[in-house]
Amino acid sequence: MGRSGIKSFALVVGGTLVVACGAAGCGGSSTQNPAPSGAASAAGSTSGAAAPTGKPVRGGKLVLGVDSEPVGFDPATDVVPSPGSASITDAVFDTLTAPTKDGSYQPYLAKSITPNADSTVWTIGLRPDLKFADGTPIDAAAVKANLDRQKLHGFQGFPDMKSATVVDPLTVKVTMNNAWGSFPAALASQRGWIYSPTAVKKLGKAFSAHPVGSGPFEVEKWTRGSSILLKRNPNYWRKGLPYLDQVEFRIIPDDSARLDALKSGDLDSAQIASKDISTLSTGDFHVQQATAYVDLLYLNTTKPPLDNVNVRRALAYALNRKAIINTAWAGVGPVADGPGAPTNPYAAKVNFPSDDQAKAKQLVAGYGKPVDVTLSSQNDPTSQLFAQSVQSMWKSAGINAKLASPSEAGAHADQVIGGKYQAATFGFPPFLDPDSWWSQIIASKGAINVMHYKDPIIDAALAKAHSLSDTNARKAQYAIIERRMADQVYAIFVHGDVVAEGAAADVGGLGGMTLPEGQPAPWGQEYRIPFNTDSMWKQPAN
Amino acid sequence: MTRGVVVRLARLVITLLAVSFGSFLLLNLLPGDPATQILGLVNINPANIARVHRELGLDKPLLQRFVDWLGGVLTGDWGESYRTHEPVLGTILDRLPLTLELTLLAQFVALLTAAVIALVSAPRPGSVVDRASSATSFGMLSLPNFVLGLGLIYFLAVQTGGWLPATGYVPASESLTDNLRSMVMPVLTLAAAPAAVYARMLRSELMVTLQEDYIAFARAKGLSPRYILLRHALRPSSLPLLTLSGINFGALMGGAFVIENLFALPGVGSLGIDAIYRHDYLVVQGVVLFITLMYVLVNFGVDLLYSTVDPRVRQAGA
Repeated sequence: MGRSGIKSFALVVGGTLVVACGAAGCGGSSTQNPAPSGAASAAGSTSGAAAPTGKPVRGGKLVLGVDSEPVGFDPATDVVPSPGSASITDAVFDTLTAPTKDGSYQPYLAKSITPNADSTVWTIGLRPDLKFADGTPIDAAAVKANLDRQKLHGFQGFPDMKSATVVDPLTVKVTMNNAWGSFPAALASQRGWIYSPTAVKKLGKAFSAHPVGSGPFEVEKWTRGSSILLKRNPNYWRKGLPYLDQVEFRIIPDDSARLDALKSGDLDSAQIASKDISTLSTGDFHVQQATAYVDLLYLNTTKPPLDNVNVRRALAYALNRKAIINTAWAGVGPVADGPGAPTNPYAAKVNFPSDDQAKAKQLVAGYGKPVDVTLSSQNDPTSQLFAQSVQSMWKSAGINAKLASPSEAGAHADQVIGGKYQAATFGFPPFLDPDSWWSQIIASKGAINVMHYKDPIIDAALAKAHSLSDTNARKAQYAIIERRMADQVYAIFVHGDVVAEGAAADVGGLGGMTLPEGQPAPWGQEYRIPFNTDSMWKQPAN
Repeated sequence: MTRGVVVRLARLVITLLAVSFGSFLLLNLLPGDPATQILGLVNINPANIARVHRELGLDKPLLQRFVDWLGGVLTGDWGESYRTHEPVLGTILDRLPLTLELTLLAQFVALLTAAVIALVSAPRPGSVVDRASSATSFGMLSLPNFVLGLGLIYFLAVQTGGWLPATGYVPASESLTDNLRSMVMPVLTLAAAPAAVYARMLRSELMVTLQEDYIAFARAKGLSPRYILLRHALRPSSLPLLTLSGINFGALMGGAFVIENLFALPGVGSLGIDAIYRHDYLVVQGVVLFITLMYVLVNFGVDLLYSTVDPRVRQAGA
C-alpha cells in the first residue's frame, strides 16, 4: 500500500504533467511501470474479454474520464492542451477533411476538395443543407469566415493562404501564395474545426465557453475543472449519428484516480496509462490501444562533441532500444525509427543505427578525444528510467555520460527549446500529418529545431512534400527525410508510446471513426483520441 | 483594546504584502516561460511568443507588473487567467465553496475525533485504552494523507464496487446526499493528521487540568467523573486547541491542495496546483493571496475570540 501510495503521489504530479505534455510533447510521462503487453504495437488493437457485440443502440449517456479539459473552445485562439481535451473539442466541431489509414485526406464535413494542377488553388465543395448547432447554415460564407478568422487570429494561421472567396453558396475557392499540396491535411486538424461565425459575432469572447459547432454534440453545461456535459446536436449532418443522447466528460488529471473511478463504476470509459492496460484486460473491461507518441533523445548539434556525426552515430549504436523499452515502459510499445510514430502511415522503413556496442566503441575511439555527454531529462519516473538506461549503455560503450539534474516538464521543455542542453529526453505528440509539424521541428529554420542543424537535403524534401498533393509522392519525400535523419543522427528515436482507453462491458464503438463513405480513419494519431464520441454507444441493461 | 486591534490589522496588511511580493518573485524565478505552456509545441515561434508576452503584459518590467497587479487587486480586479481568460477572483470564488466545505468539515471531524480520543484516554493515563488511542493517533499522524486517501479509495470505492464515489464532486445545490457522499473520503483523509495532533494536545491539557485543586474539590463533592470531565475539565483544557485549530486552518488549506487533486475535486487547491504547472502566474498569485488572506483573518479572529473566551489574555493584551 505504502509503495503504491508514493508512486501515485508522483502521479498526482505526473498526471498534471501529462497535461503539460500534450503541449510540451512528452508522451513518456503518461506511462509508468507498464505491464507487458504483446499487442501494444498494433494500431488500434483491442483486448479484454468483454465488449458488446451486435448493432449500436441509439440513446443513453456515457461518462468518460479524461486527463484535462480544453482551455476554451475557440478553434482560432484556444490551444488544445492534450489529446484528452481534444476529444472533447472534437465532439463539438467537425473538420472539413479527415485522414484515412493510408495517410490520404478525404473530404469529411466538406463534400469535395480539389486542387488545380500545381496546388495553388483549392476548391472546397460543401454538402447541401447542413446546419450548425444553432441552426445557421454551414455554407460557403461560413467556411470562408472560418478560414479568414484562422488566418488572421489563429496561432498557426494559414501562412500560405492568400485569400478565400465564395464562388457560390456551396463552393469556396482558396488561393495560395505558393503551391500547398497538403492543405487538406491542415484542414483535418484544429485549423479545420468549423464553427458558426454567426455565434462568434454574437458572443464575442464568450464563444470560447459557449461554442456553436458542426460536430455531433454541443456543450450543455461546463463546470470548469470538473466536468463538461455534452448533448446531442439535433442538426448533426451525419445520418443516425451520434448514438448517444449525452456524454459527460469528467476531468481527472491523476492516472490512478481515473483508473479507480473506472473500476468503481463512476466512469463508463477512461483514458488510461499504458501501465494499467493489463489490469483492465481481464474481467469486465475492454481496452482499445494504439501507438501514438514518439519518445526520443534530442542531440544539440552545436555542442561539441555532438557536432561530430560519428560521435552522434556512436551514441545511437550504443543503445539497445528494446532493452530501454523493457526498462522504462515495461515492454509496452514498439521501437521508433523516425519522427513519426511507427503506426503513422508516413513513417518509412529505415535502418536506424542501433544495437552495436562494438561499432559504438570503434567510433568513440576514432574520435580521438574523450566523449563527454550530459543528458537532461524530465523528473517523472518514466523519463528517469529512460535516461538512466541510456546513460548506462553509453557508459559501457566508453562514453562519459552524465545525467543533469532532472527538471519539471515545462521547465525541461523550455530548457530544450532554449538550446540549454546537450542531449535530452523528449516526446513528440501524436501528430499524423508531417507537413505542419515536421516543418516546425526538423526544418533547418524550424521554430523549434532544437537540434540546430542546417541540412539542405531535409529542407528540400520538406518543401517539395509541402507542395505535393499526391499521398504517395509526399510519402517518398518524407522517406528521404527519415533516411537522412537515420544517417546524420540529429536525434535518436527510441520508442513509440501507446495511447489507451479502457471501458466497461456495456460500452461500444471505441476506437477510430469511420468516414461517411466507409473508409476507417486511423485511430491513435492527431485528434479523436482517446475518445471518438460520434461512434460510441451504450448497451442498455437487459 | 482598540489600539491592539489596529496594531494587529497593520501587521495583517504587512503580512499580506510580504507574502504577495515574495510569491510574485518566486513565481518569476520559476524556470520556464508561460508562453510555451500556452502555445504548445506546434504553435511555438518567435512571433507567437512575442504575441503572448504582449497580450499578457509579460514584456513589461517585473516591478511594474507587481505594482499593476497590486493596484488591480486593491480595486477588486485580480486580473485574468493567462490560459482561460476568466477573471481570477471570480474563478477562486467559484471554487471556494468546495474548499471551504472540505476544510470546515475536516476541521469539525478532526475536533470531534480528538475530543473523543482525549476524553477516553486522559482520565486513565497508561491504561490499555490510552495506549491504544495513542497508537491510533500516531498512526493517523504518520500516515501521509495521499496514502490514506488512496487506501480509502481502494477499500471504500474500488473494492465495494462504488459504495462511495472515487472521484468527483456534486454541488450541495444539486443533491445534498450526493454532495456529502462525495465529501466523505476527502474529509476523512484531510482530518486524520490534525485529529491526531488535536487529540494529543487535548489529552495532555486534560491530564494537567485533572490535577488541579478545583477538580479534586469537585471529586470531593461527589460529582461523577463523567460530569467533572465534561463540565469542569474540558472547557479550560480546550483553550490551546482553539489557537491550534486556528493556526491549523492554513495547514488544512494546504492539505486541500493534495486532497483535491487526488479526488479530482474542483476546489481552490486544485486550481492552484494546475496554475503552477501551467505557469498561470496571476491565478497562482490570486490563490496565494486568497489563502494568505483567509489564514491571517482566521488567526486574527482566533486572537479576538481567545481574549473573549479567556479573560486573562484580554487584560494582558490591551
